Amino acid sequence: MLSRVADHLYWLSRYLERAEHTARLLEISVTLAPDRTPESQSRQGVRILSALQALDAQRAGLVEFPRLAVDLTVGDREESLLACVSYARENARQVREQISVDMWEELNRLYLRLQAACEDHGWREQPEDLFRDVRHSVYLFKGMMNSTMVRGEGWQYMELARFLERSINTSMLLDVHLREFHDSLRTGVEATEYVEWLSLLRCCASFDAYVRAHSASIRPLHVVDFLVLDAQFPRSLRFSADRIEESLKRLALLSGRTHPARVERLAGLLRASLQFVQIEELLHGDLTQTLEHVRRQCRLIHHATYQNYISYQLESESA
Amino acid sequence: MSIPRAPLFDDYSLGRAYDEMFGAAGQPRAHYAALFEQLGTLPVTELQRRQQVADRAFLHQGITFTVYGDSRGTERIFPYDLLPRIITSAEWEQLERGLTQRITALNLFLRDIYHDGRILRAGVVPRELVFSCPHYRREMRGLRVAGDCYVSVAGTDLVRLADGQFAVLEDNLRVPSGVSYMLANRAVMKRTFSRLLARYSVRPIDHYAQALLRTLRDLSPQGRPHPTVVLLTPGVFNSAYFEHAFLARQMGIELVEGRDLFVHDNVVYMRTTSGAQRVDVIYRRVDDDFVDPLAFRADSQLGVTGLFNAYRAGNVSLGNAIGTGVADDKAVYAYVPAMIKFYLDEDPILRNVETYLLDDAVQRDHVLQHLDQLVVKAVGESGGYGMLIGPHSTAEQRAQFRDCIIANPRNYIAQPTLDLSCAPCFIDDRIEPRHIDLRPYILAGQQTVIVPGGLTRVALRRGSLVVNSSQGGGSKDTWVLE
Repeated sequence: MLSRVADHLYWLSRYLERAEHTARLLEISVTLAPDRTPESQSRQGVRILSALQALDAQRAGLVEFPRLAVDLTVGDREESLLACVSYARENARQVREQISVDMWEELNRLYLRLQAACEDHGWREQPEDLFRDVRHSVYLFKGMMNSTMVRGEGWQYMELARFLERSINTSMLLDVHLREFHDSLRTGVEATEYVEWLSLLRCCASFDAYVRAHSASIRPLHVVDFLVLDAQFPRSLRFSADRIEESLKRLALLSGRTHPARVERLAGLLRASLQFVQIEELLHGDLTQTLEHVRRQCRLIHHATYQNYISYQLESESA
Repeated sequence: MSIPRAPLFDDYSLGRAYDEMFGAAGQPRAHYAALFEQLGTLPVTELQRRQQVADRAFLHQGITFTVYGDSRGTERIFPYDLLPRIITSAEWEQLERGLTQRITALNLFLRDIYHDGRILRAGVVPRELVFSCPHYRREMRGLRVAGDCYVSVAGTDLVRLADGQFAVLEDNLRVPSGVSYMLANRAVMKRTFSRLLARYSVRPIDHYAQALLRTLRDLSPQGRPHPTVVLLTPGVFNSAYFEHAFLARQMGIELVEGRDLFVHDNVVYMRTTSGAQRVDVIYRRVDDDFVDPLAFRADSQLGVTGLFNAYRAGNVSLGNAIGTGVADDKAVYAYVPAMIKFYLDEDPILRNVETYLLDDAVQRDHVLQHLDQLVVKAVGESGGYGMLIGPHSTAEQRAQFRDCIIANPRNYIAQPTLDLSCAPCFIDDRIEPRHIDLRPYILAGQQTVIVPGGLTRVALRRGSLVVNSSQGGGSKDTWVLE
């Protein structure tokens, strides 16, 4: 596969994962707004902006709904849904021949829908509908990807990108949440904070899965355990690390490279750091540092992947 | 002329031009009868609905083109007319033979002028005309092209004149585009008029990509058995990018940009995730000028440094070859019938349009006196740019062209203003006649293959004779009957 094609598929997938994540954060925040006081609503606004690393919006004080929701949907900023989907589409446009017609058309439709939301403000009456549509459109895209694409290099680059992006997003969200509610890990949930922990679970699309594993009693320790270390839940950090390692192994095989690569070692380290640890041990240490470590490893894996397959030095290759 | 009663055709009138649907007596021609009958039964709202279905299909698939010189609207859909254009099998059979004969002669001509120059020595084509053509590439002298196949893909523009006969308007032998619209139009037609399509037995065109790939494989350098074929595109900002991506996907080959390729030791490689991979055949959709900054335009960002040397060394093939533009120069065009006679000793099956060469003082005087009746074209331009349509021009435009012609007569030709044939089109809730042309796509490898049909372009503005997409043209599906 062309290196440039791998690059475009990778970013296509990352931007779509990011759009899905952002849409879910906004959707959950809007639907839970009636359960929150105005003050806790704006604190949630701050957390969303921190989790999305939309720093300048934070500085500009754009933390109140619905202003924040509009800004993060069609606003002229690179964290907005419109921007993420436009970037995804630009990348897809460059590699149209690599993805199926269905995938392209779904992405194009999503783009046109968000474009229309710039002009037609009707969606602001019931913004959660738009956020759900975005989320469903990304699900549909991924469903088409899984049912129409061969499990070749292209698919593996998209998987890799998705789980790297997801790890960074989940770890950021947890980080921001724990900075504010860290004490509940020891004391248990106060009634006033119940909605915040519920919101965290739903922002990770994990409420149903959590309830099945731990019953409806929401205990912060279990929530963090579930989101960080669960081996079977597809949005946990542990699960993502498994997928990242698996994709990189496949990519090494598919590319036919024989020399052992640094990138595989990095992925193995990340996976091991989440596989052979228990939540109690993490709590004894600094949980925030663990989350920071996950994000750093993901960034290193990204760079190493590029060095290995995409922007490698030609001299060592053709000589 | 009277037309049989059908409300949709209230404003349909027959002019001087040949009408594809109606005979001179105003009766539908036999091969259009079923379409005419169907249109009589459909309410206008149903046609509008189908038009919407079609337009939405193009938008959702992102089948768009980029209009140059329009800073704002980067993507626009290519207008699609709902009604098919129908060609009988007898008409097609003659076109197919004529086009095959023509491409054969043109390939022989290109081989000849870049090698022995027999036709120049025989005085059949003036030496001066060939060597003064800006698309003549001296660098190609003596270079052996795989299979002697200079033009692998041609998109010849045909028009049907008032007497019902087809004539060749121009040969596009460089990087003709539009074939993806031909295929997309048929796909949309299957959704909008599926039953009618089945009732007429229309010859399929879906095998185009397969035939194209076979033609490109025929170019394999030194006959290497499993050549790696790639499609070289200028990139996503090119107006035909959709088509490049579409064809690459249909053929299952890599779509590459200049930056994906590099040359080492006169061999072309592409940069892949598994390291450098050798490339054998390049279907290039980049003009000669931009292919290699080392050999041609140094400021090209689109090409591959050293590509031409690899080509000279015979390590890579290009489709089409470099320097084919000399054979579709609008002045050289006038000599194509003579080429057919010279190389094949046959009479041309398809005729040319009468063409005045402005190098010649007598012809030039005649043209300058009749600018208001003639069409003047710059020889090297395409896409409907650099053109004067006498009857539709202003005195100012004519004065401007007069100056240009006198300053550089070799750069222009003139032709009579043609009455392009008309076909019924669905426009603003009615059916009206519009002028059309026809661009079939000819694939010349070890065999010549012409997928039945082509792109029928439509001048959507009433009375307009300009069908180019950049000038407000649209297109319609083209049916060739069994």
